Amino acid sequence: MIPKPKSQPLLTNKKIRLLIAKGEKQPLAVESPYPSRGQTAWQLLYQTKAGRLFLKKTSKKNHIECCINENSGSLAQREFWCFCLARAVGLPVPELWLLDKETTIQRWLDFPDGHIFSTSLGKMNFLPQNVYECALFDWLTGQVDRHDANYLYDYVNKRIILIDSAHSLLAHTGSLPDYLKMYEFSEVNELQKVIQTKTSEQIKKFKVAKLKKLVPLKDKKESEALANRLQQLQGVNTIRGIISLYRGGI
Amino acid sequence: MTTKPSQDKIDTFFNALQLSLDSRVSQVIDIDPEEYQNLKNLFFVGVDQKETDERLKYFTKIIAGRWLKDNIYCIDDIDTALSQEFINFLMLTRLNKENMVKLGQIDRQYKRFIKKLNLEESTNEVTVNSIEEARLHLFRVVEQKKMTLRVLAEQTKMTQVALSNFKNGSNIRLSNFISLCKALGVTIVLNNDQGDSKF
Repeated sequence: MIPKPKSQPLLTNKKIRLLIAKGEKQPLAVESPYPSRGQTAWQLLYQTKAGRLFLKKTSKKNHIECCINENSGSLAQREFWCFCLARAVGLPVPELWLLDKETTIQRWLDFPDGHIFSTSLGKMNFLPQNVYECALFDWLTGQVDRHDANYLYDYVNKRIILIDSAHSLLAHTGSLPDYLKMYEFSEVNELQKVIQTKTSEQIKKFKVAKLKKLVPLKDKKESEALANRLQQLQGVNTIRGIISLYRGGI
Repeated sequence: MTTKPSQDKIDTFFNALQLSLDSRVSQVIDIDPEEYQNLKNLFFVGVDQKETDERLKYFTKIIAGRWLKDNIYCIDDIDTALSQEFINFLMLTRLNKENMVKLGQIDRQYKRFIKKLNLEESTNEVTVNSIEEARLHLFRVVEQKKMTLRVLAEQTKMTQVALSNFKNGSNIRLSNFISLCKALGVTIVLNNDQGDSKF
């Protein structure tokens, strides 16, 4: 369901547009809208020959409400850049296509989000390596909106799958991602353990020049903040280390 | 159906069902009273069927009902269909086979749905009468899952040495045994005259 990160996209934008055009719009709900905390004006689900695809289209109002400088990078662009970055470092995320400056299409996966899982079933059990990789990525991308509906929980493999990463790449950082808060409280003994994975090393070894090419923010402050966050990750090799970054080094 | 369900409940059900199926579904309200005289006050789901929709078949196996023509499914067991338990089941599994099997392992309350599908591992229960039998079963599962002791140690927070010792016959603490079962997706059931207790 999640493609190997470094493989080429299976579908081009042109093919995606054709699939959507021929696809069948499925209501996310019959009477009431699907609960959304997102920054999107439109959310549409399509059943296509290539599976279920989720279209999101933002508006100027979304950008104003989220305090996003559209000229530096729109919400859709930021989400796409995060996807590209995730693929480059080997972090499995759903395939995503940028159709235009306001519109993305994402592959729809059959997992509940963190909110649905914790409400229906209870405690999510995470793997430390997965938490570490996701937390490194969220710190690097300056993710400010990682609430419990912005990640899926693959309970078969006990894996967090990051989605909806649009509200990111800003000059400032946000509060701890939801999964990280939960992990901090529930797995106290794991926080200080040194973790090293292929993905975590890929994230930390990223060169600034390559990062800026992959994430071409036009605002100088945002671009510098991204480079700074990368630099800050160099000394981190535990989950506690990432938490400390969020808390200003405490 | 004992009491008429609220529209909110019905909407929630259709929301969850639509997310789980490839076929398009809708609530059917207008049924020809002449044609279906005996089916008053029952619940109808309009289905724009896709032949390849395996999940639709799962749904009709779990929720008892019958087809009126090709595109209307009349649900007999409305109480189950509209129960919070079944809606949760849909939202958690999306009627994906692997998800359903795993959910049945995590939470026994969902096994009754999975049993109707005859999915693999849905009735894989083993009765053990000694720690030795339990040990053998657990390490059989480890082998099936092709899990290394290193990975198992990470997931259970036990040391590899402790796991190896247990494998070779030493005892472990009950808390560690439970962690090991959880890591392997093995549910412990304590059986007595008053009925099962999930552990």
